[in-house]
Amino acid sequence: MDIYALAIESSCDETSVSIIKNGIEEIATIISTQIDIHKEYGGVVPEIASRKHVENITIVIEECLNKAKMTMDSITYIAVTYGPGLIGSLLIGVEAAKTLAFVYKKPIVPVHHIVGHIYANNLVKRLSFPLVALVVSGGHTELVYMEDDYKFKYIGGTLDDAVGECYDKVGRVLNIEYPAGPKLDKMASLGKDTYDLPTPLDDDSYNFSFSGLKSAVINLKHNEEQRGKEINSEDLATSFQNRVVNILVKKTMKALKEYNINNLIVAGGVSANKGLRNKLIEECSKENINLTLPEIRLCTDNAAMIGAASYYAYKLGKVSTLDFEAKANDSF
Amino acid sequence: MISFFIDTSTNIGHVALLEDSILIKHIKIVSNNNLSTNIFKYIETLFKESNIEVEQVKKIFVAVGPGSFTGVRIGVTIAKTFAWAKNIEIIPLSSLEIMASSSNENAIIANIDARRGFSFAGVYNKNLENIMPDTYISLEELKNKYIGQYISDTENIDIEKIVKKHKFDEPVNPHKINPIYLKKTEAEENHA
Repeated sequence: MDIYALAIESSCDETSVSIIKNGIEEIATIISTQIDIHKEYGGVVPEIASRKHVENITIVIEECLNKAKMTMDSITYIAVTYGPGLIGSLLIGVEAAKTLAFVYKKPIVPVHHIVGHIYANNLVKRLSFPLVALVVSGGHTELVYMEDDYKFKYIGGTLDDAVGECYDKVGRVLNIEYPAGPKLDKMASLGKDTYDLPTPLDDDSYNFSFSGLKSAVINLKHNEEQRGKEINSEDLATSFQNRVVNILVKKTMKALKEYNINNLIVAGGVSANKGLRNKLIEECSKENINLTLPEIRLCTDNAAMIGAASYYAYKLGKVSTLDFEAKANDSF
Repeated sequence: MISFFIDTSTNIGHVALLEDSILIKHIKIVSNNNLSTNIFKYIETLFKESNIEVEQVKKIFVAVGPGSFTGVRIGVTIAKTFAWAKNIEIIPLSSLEIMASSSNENAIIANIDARRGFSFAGVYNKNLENIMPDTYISLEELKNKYIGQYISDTENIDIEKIVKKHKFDEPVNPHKINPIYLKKTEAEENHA
């Protein structure tokens, strides 16, 4: 029998609802983004985000069902992001999901946000195991080994800033409007690698560190300005992005080789970065690695990935009672 | 007709089921440090011990604030999702008026500490008629303008009284039920 998940994601500034069939087929997804509101403040304001989620939540659920031309009767269970994320934002999705589960007497499956990002790839192609997942977002930079569905082993990760966070901070220095990632990526594609920036944590470990690179960019800009020289923003973007992408790809390829794995997936908001995508495609084709990248539209936060991830949790019996907690911080 | 009442806007939460305006069961949530985690345990118990099915509920009364921002949002999210899902009527209630229901004084100053010498306050009489609309006001101004009984908790609220008063209110589209904060976010205030 076909299994339909109605999934809700509200961990940051997107209110999203999706209906996913059997973990692999997207029936309908609605993403209501607040990006234009938060742009005014140079970043996500948690209290504003929470307020918007309450206003949007039932509208987005209804739109999704309408788009799918389905009613709640044909939904098998409810899935929801329980964390990590902004606690006030998470709570809206969690309470709405619990309410749906309660009034319709349906099972509920809490899903970890990053596990969701990993399973965005499952909507492109069913995951092949074992695999390595490179998780890159505003809050995460991790290499994860997966032997099977929901079997995660941490290989390495950032010791300080997440890669997306580093992009936002560098963006601020270069006066680029929030969110800086996509704009920096575009600038990087137009510039030349002319600035002398350090390669961050180029060692034998699987860990990353981006705060040194971030400081180097800030200092470089400051020093050039002191000397009355103008910064070429595009060249600086290229130089910065090359350092980031090179080390991410280098350590990822090393992990694949060492663990003798030929499946690689990429997850999280920064997986939309063209520089990163191109470099990975190039290296993976050289090394004969089976690479899966999420659809650009599903790189950022969305409920489709939560629906996809929830299916395997549901199959594994990870159904919850209604007293699970929304968690701002949680490892997986 | 069965109604569901929910108020999670202050440090004491309330969920109740009523038949017409008579309480069937009322659960007071005193230790609500982890309200968002536990709220459905109380709601499930409420329905179970009242022997009421979700399908029997025809109307929802919800406290929409002012109050704890997060607290209000929890109750409002549950209430609007419930009402939307079951296509039933929903009636928003002032959290301050709910507070005032616990008194029979002629002037009741329901107030919630909003810090920095301010409070969210509303003045009601014993029939819950509104004398001063709910507002964000300095304590000093409040004290100068109104004399009455100050109430700032929901320990002894009279749910039947408030439901009786509002049972014929025009229901609101669940999508349009939103918290009333009475205060912009700090970011918005600083930005203006």
